[in-house]
Amino acid sequence: MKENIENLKVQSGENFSGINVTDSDNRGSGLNIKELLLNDASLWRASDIDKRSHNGTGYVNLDNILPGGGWPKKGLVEIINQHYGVGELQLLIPLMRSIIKQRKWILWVSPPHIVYAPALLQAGIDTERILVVDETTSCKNALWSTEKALRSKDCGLVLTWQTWLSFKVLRRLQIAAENGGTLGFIFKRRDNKSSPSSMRLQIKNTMHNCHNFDEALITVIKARGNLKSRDARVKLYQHHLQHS
Amino acid sequence: MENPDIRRQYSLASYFDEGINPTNTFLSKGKNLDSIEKPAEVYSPANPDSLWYALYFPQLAELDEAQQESYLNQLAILVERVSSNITIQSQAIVCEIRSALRYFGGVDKLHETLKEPIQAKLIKLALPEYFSYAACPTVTGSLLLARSGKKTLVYRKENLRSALSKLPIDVLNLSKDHFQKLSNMGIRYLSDVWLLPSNGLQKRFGKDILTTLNKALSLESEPICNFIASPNFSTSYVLPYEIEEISLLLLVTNKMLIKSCAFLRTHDLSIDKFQISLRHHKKDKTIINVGTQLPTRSDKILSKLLEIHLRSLNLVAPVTAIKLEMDEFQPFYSSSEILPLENIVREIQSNNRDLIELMEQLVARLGRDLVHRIQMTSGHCPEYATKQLAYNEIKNSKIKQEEIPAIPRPFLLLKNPKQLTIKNGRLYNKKPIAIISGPERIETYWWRMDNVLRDYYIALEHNGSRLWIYREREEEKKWYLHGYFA
Repeated sequence: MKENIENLKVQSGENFSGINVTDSDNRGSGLNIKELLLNDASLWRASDIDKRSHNGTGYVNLDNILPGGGWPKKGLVEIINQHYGVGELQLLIPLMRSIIKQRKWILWVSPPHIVYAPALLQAGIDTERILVVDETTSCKNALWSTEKALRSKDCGLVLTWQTWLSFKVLRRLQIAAENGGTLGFIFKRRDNKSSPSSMRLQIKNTMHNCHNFDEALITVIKARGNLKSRDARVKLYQHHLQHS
Repeated sequence: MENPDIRRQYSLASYFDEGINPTNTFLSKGKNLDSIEKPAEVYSPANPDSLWYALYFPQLAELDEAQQESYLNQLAILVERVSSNITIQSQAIVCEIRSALRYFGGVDKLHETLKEPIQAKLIKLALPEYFSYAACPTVTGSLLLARSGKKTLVYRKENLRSALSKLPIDVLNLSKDHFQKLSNMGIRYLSDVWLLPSNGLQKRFGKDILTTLNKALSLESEPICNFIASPNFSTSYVLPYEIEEISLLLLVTNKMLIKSCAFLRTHDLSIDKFQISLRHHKKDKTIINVGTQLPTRSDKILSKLLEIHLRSLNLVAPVTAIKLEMDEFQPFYSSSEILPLENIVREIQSNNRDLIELMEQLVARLGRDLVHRIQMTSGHCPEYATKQLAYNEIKNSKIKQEEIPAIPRPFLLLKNPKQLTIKNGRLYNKKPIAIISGPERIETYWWRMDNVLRDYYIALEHNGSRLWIYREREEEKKWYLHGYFA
């Protein structure tokens, strides 16, 4: 029991001084842990991760290495890609389709280039429910928009492009996404050493020849429920030309 | 002002002294002039002491009816400062002024009060600034006098006939045919019309001429439609000391918004835009226009939007006073919830309030140009196949399945294609590029100077980027990067 409490402290990273949990209190019953788990949303048991609270990614190899078997329903996911065009949006095609099907909106915050409508339609993503915040928006305003959208109920998915974000900003966005029940993706060029977001993925190129053009190596650096980083080879470009 | 009849002006007290009801009875029926002296319970014509002041704008005749109405409404709001009984006639505004004479100190002073704002308004409406005016005890009479262009003032009903008799028949606004007929009969003035037998006149020219003349002489009642100004709301607050802190300003503006929303609720209205002006000491005032996509009357939504506007503002100086103005209102429509008992699966409304609120907030903070929607357009030239729409623009033009290109297109398209370099016979972006598939030939705009002749390829850069590149088929045959298969 003592170990459990210590684990909880480590996981949440919060200061528990106000809760007054003593060893003697907990030795007798497990009630206090249950209470803690119930009362504090930032505490969770890794074993509690439920597949029902996840959406399949549409890529079997990737689903196999993700703890819930897919994307979380809410929270922040960081995708680290050093270069554009490595399949970072291909990864989200099935998810975007399901969001549109739920009649929710997708907000694109400061994408680096023009969001190309014919490509979205080729992938079966209706452009009627897509809202774009222009890339010329200042970083501060882009983050403000992201946070607002993550808190909104009708925005199903928020995609934003940033070079790097501090732990504090990521934490704020993660809380916004959890409170709003929205899923947010951040495309970053550089990784943080530690991050409060629900999931961090890195997309790397595997081969430099034409034979496996559509394949990429995806490393799950962090996912709630995974003990260590895992990776998988995924054929990313399989969904691109599937009209709805 | 020409003044054929001078009579002492009534004070409010003198009305009661003489037992005359000071309120105007517009819809009462008057038989003839004698009835004026009879007690009110018999047949009271329009209040015997009414004095109607007509402002005639001949320049409005050239405009269409809707525009005339809108301009007259705007002008009538200015007339409200001298009278509460205003009626709008064709190209004219007529108002009751007897009750206001004492306050303004006579007709001339009252006219001076009105003249300047009306002329300013006419200039603002891009109209010539002249107008004619006249005053007499009947609405129609004053209108006829004003139309004649003679600035006449008739105080007493007994003198109406003599004042009107000198007017040419043009003032009756007759049809061309009727006017011609009367002219041919040698009739030039209203006094000539009165000489004609009324039965014959009615038979030949219809009832209108007789009715107008009877109304002008107060022989017939003049039912009028009272002008009611569209509601407007404005509230201002002079701050006890200069404030620069936005959060303190918000405390005041929020109170103002609560007040305004209470006004909206009592009038069953909603708004989609309002204006806040902030006054500064020795500096021009700052004006903030706040707009919403859907009309609302919720102070929470409005205050949230206003906060975003205020926070993105660079105040030129501390604020000394705040004014809130609302003048364009929409009727309020409440939305009803779906009963859970209904076993019908309904689609969630696409116009979700929550999303609209988000859009409004984004637009308030970032500006209209930075938030947009996208749409595919049918066009061969890649850069013209996608179009940016305003955030609230709704286009129902559905793209047909066959219009979607069959060859893959990139998710991200460069606004300005980036030229690629060739080193040792290899294509380079940042790293060497290998072509995977192609070419897809695109030729379009041959009818323009900047015709498009390109061969597109899908390519792989050494760092893993999947690129959409093209080679120009003209002149130097340069290579360009046009998109990323992100």
